[in-house]
Amino acid sequence: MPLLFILLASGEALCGEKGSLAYENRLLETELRIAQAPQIYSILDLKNKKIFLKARGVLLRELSIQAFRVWGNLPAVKAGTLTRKSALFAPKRARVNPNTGEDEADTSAETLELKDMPTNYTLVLDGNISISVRPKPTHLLSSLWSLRYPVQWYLTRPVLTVWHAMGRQPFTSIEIVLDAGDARSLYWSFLEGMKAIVFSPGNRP
Amino acid sequence: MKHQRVFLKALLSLLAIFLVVEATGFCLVFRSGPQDETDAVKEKPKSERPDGLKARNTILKASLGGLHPRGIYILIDTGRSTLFLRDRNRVIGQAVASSGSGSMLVEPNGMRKWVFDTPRGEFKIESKTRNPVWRKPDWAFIEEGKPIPTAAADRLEEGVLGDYALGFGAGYFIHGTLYTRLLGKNVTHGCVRLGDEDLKAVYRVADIGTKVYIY
Repeated sequence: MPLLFILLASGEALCGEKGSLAYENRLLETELRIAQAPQIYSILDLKNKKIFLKARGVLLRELSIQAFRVWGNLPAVKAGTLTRKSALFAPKRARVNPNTGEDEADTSAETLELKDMPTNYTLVLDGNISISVRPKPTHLLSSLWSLRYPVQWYLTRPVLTVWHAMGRQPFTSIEIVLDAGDARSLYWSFLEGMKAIVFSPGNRP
Repeated sequence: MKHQRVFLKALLSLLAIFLVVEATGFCLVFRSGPQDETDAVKEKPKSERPDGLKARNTILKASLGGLHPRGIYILIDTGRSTLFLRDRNRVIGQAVASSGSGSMLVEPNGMRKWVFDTPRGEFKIESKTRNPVWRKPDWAFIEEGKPIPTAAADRLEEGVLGDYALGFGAGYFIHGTLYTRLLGKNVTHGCVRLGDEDLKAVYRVADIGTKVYIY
C-alpha cells in the first residue's frame, strides 16, 4: 500500500513537472521569436503574477499583478499585438501655442507625465483578447467602490461572449489589478503595435 | 393599472432575454476549447521526456541570452525620467533625465504638425559630438513665432546642447541642457537631456553602436 502511494505520488509529480517544462518551453520559443526583432515587448505572466517589459530578452521593467481573473479559454501561451488602448479619462496632448513669447522653462505645465496616465483602462490584443486594468483599492471607500467590478464582470462578459460568437470570433477577457503606480507605468510603456505574450498555464474561467 | 401590467410584462420579458443571453454566454465559455496557439508554438510531441524538455529549455534560454546586447548599453525609462547604464544585468550608472513633453505644435497655416515624443524602442548610438551646435529645425522657429530662415547658417545655435551630444537616429540626441532645474520632467522636443556630469559619464562609456533601449 505505501509503495502504491509512493508510485502514484511520484507519477503525478512527474506529470506536473513535465507539464510545467512544456509550458516553459512554449513560452521560451515564443519569446525567442519575438525577441529577434528590434522591439520592446511585454510578457503578462499570470502564473507568477508578473508583467515583464523586455527587449532582446533583457528585462527592462517588472510589475507585480495584485490579482487577476480570466474569462474565456486562453491557451497556455498566446502571443499578440496591442491593437487598442482605451480609457475613460485618457490623457490629452497639450497644444503648443506658437509665438507666445514664453520661455521654454515656463511651459512645463503642458507636458505629459507619468502621473497623468490613467489607472483604469482596457488594452485590446489582436484575437479579441481584452485586458482590463484596475487599480488596487487603497482605502475603505475605494474598496467599496471596487465591488462593482465583479458584478460588472459577470454581467457583461457572457453578453460579450455571445456577441462575438454571433460573429464567429473568439473572445477572451482578463482583468488584472495593479498598484496605481504600476497601472500608470503599464499605460505609459505599453504602446499600440507592441507585441505581448500572455502566459497563463492552467487558467479556466 | 393596465399600463402597469404591460410595463411589468415588458420588463420581465427583457429580464428573461437577458438571463438567456447570460446563460448562453456561460455555456459557450465553459464548452469551448482554447484559442489557437501562436504559430511558433505548436503542440510538442506528448512522448517527450522531462529530461529532453529541460535540455531544450536550457538551449532556448541560452539562445535568448545570445540576443542580449554585448557590453554596456543604455536604458531610458521615460516615465520615471531615468537613464540607466547597464552591463549585462548590472546597473553601472543612473541619471535623472528629461524626455519628450508629448505636446503638439501645429504650423499656423495648418500644413504641418509635430508631436514632441521621445521615440520608444531599440536604437544605437550613431554619432558622438563634443561642443555640439544645434541646427534648429523649422518647428523651433515656428514655436518662437519667428520666420524660418533660408540661410543654413541662421539656424545654428551654440551652447544650448551642453558639452556633448550622442545621436541615436532620426535627429534625436542625448545631450545637455541649460534648464537643469527641469531635469526629471518631460519637457523636451523628443531628445533626452542629462545634467553635465551624467552626460560626461555617458559620453565616456558609450561608443558608436552602443544599444539604447527607450521605454
